[in-house]
Amino acid sequence: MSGLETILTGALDSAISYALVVGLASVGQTVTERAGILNLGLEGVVLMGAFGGFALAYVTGQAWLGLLGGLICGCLLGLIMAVWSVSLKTEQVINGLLLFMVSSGLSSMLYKQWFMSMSEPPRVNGFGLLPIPILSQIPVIGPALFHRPWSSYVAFAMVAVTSLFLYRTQVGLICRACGDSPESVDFSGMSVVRHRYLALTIGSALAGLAGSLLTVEQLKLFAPGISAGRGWIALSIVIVGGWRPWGCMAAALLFGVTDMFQFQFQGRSDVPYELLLALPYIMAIAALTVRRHTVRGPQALGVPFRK
Amino acid sequence: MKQNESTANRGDVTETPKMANKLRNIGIGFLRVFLSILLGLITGVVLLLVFGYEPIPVMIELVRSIVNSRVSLIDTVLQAIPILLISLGVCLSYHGKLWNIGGEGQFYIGAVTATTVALSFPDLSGWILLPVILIAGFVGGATWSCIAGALRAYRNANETVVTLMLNSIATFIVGFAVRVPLREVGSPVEQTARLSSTGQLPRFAGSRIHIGLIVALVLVPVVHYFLFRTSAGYRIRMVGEKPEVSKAAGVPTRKVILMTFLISGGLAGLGGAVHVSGVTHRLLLGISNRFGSTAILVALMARRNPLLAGVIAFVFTALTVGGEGIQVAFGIPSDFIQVFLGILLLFVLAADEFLKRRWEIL
Amino acid sequence: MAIPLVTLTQITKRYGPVTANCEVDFDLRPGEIHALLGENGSGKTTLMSILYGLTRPDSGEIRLGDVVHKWRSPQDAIANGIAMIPQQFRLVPSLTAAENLIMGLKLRGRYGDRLREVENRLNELSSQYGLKVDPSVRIESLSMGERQRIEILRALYHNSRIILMDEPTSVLTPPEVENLYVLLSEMIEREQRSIVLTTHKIREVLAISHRVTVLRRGRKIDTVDAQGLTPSTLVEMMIGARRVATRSKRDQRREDFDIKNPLIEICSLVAGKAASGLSAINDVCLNVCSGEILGIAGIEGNGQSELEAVLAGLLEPTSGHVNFADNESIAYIPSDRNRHGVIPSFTVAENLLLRQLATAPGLGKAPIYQSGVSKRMQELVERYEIYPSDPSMRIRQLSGGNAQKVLLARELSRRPRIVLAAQPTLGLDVAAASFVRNQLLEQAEAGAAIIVISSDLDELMGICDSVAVMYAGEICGVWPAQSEHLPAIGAAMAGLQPCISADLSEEVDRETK
Repeated sequence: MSGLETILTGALDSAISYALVVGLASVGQTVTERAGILNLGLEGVVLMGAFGGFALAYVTGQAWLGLLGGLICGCLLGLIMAVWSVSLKTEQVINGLLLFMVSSGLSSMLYKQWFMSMSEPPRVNGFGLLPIPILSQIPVIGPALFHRPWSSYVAFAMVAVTSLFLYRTQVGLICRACGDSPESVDFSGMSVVRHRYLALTIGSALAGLAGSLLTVEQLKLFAPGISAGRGWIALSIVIVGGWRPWGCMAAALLFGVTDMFQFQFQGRSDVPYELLLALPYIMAIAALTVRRHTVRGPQALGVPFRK
Repeated sequence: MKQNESTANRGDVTETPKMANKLRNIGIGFLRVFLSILLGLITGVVLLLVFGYEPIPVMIELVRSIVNSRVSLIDTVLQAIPILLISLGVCLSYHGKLWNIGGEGQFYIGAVTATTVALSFPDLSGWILLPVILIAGFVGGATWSCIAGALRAYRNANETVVTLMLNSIATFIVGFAVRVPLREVGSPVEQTARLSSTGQLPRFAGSRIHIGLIVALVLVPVVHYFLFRTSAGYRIRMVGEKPEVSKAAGVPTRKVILMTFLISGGLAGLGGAVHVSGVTHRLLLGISNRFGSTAILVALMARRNPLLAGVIAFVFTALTVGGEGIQVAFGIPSDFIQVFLGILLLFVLAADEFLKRRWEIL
Repeated sequence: MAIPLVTLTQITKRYGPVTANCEVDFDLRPGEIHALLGENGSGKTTLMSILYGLTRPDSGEIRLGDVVHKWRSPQDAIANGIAMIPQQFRLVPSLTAAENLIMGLKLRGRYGDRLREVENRLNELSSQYGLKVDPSVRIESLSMGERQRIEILRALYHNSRIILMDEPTSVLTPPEVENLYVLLSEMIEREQRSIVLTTHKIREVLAISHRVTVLRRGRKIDTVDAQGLTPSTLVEMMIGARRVATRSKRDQRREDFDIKNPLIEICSLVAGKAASGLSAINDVCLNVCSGEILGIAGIEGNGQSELEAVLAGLLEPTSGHVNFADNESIAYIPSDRNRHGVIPSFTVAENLLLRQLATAPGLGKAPIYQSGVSKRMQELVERYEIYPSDPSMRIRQLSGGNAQKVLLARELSRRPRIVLAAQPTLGLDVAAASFVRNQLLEQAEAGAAIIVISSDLDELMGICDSVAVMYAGEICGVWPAQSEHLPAIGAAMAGLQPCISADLSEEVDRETK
């Protein structure tokens, strides 16, 4: 492969990596928001998943357990958020923010307590690469898309599973209905509370998984605040993606490509690279400003259900 | 509520419920305070135990490191000032049910504008320069906040997410500002030049505490009066409670929303100006020690009441400063205080709900 | 003596300080249509919700036959053969009818297959009962009548023996009402189902029910056979010993109206968007003069809410305009009091001063705190008979009727020249409703131009000078509010009257006088 090809492949690879984490987190958030809960603690969930996954992978030496760790951390956080937002019905925005503060502080604290005393920063082994036979030979995009650690395919599969869940199962249907018209769900005899708990747990589990993907598969280390705002960006991706799993992945890919450009320009001094760093956030705001007219979000988003 | 004189004189039946109502409200207020303190103690003890520290020595050291050292006390005051100013803005926003969490970004932009002005007119007399610096800070924060405000007022964009994004963008702006245009000439460090002596807020004799303290303390009752005694304040609260009713009654809801963002952002920006002019005397990244998020915690704990925020800002800041002390003494990471405060507030909110309504079981 | 199918014994349900049902007994016999009659707030819907398992009673017993049941959710009730057709349809707008239905089913097997089965069954039922509706279309594109059909189909899908209908005719046009009555009779006679019907319309009770149970303020007054009942007996049971406030009929002074200088001018108004995509209001023209009360009649959903919104300044017209002679002197009594009227967490005084608070200069002392205000508030509270008469009470501590009075006090005490009243007596007890009507008449006497939008035709006939009928977003005609025009008005409300422009019909009327 020529030098240019290598650079392009590398750039694409990092874009895909970025998109996988952000996209998976946003898919999880889609499930949550479709059920009517606005979980602003997403960044915290990703961080805790990143830490929990990393810790478990480090302790057991098994990378796949790291993914499980991320999933479990996400589940727990989702449950906590559900207790406050669905049962106690305190203001969801505040709950999410508080959970973010706690999670980010906790992940940082636990890491420092546990690992700071070590002489060198701890690392984990990642996942083995799994090349897809013919597709991985395609120049440039082949290696980036189809010659990835097998955990990437797992993550991608989770998106498909989520989409199936939302649109091809009864439970998924009810979860969607909870976000649009919880009174109707209640009237038909199904429990809004139970389904919102479920949606929050699933959604946060996916976000936690995304976090562990970041630390165990991609970076193979952890540091406080390692998610660097991916959770926040995921929040806006949900909107850009129209609250649909595949839409979110497409938007995530778009943002990944943007991030890829920004990274390439960082070395140059004539362009204020901060502008490029800010680009995802600016795009997110733009998405929020424009999208409102074309896509309708869940009608009962953020509103607690009171019988 | 205001006592109605004619009713009182008539010795109406309605007087008894009013008095009972008032006593009941005061009682609930006390119960809340007591409950908050109790929860705080329990949370703190349990957390410390969970992480393997001994509660009593740590708590004693916490208090000791705050009160025993003059430096800590002064640090507490100095850090509380911007936090207080930002939290006043947060209280205002939350009364309007506008979840503006952009205090950090507004703080920084206010700091940028204030520093720019200060560095541009270094020779101006302090009597003129200082007010101008403060105004510049207010304007900077207000403008930054109004971006989110306009998007919310005219596009119904979720202001929480927008202010969040703006926070990050603000740090990039500051990063660029201190790296290129405002950078101190010849310095390897990414920071601005030092402010001229006329651009620095004067201090109280013999200490590092600057007169920004007065500004902050004066604004506490001012903001309270504004919120509860002026028509503008009423309108903010009306739009927060029932925007459609307000609209039908003739309130220009969009303008009110914009104004709310303007004032709350301005207060945060003022915090930035005050901090740069009074403490750091130059601008660089990192002058904010989680001021924005602490301010939100303060406003929540104060139940949006500016007067309470005035007290709680100092309490929470003291805890943060003390947190650094126990880090030195016991090796407890500085994040501990943030975790503690976050969990405490979750429990406080839960307790509030219990006081209000029943728990819905799964 | 027929054994009751359903027996409710001593049902009590409290919502905070309000007792919705107080020791109510009720029974349903097989094959009967049993009407639950009562005014708004009498507890009819609560009772039905308890029977359907939506809420649990604080005390009391539900019995089917001789078995006692404790529903944990509507699923239990459905499993026992009870279905409910709610007043506000419980259908998720973004889903289809089949999806809505399948939500509540206990499924086995593949979801896709089950969904298809549901669709097929719905199609079958739809043709069997003549309830034409497409089960694979999203609810949001269906009309109110169609949505009700889906609710009914839902009950038929479960083959429920007992069907509860909450105010079923409130959203139907007169011909649709007739169809519903036919359907109900069929269900009773041919299929031996039993139906509980809640309503506040006396005529309806007499038209189709076998027995009537009258509720008032959460208590059961009596259960009687419908045969041989007279309207006045029922009215007396509904409102108790209080006399029905005589509606003062105005002297016809139409000739005195200064039609050359209307205070309200609505010209070629086009506004809003109906579910079908067309405009909700289409080319509406109306004029109202000083001292005149114009009523806007029509079945809910024909553009009245949009008209209300445009007149109140809450909705921008697409084209055309509304002119008020005095923009500062407009009183608005909104139909949705909670959304547009009062702020529940604010006090009575603050609500009374809402308009002043809205427009007073920002940094000045709020009107509440100005001198002499508290005395004025107390006066207002007394004049409008607001109970409790403490202006520092919060609105949410007041009853609905009193909250409405606060609204009235706020709006009408300004002596407005223009009054826009939408559903002004909705949810009020008879005495309060009568008070409201008298207030409106007073304002008209004082020279105000008043528009009253109401779905209560009797009310409109009682206080208005003329009645305009809205159908499908257009004004179908304007008639003087006299009983000889009632048939034409009724026909127009049903859409049977071809729409002619309002001016023309007014001229026609004047000529024929």
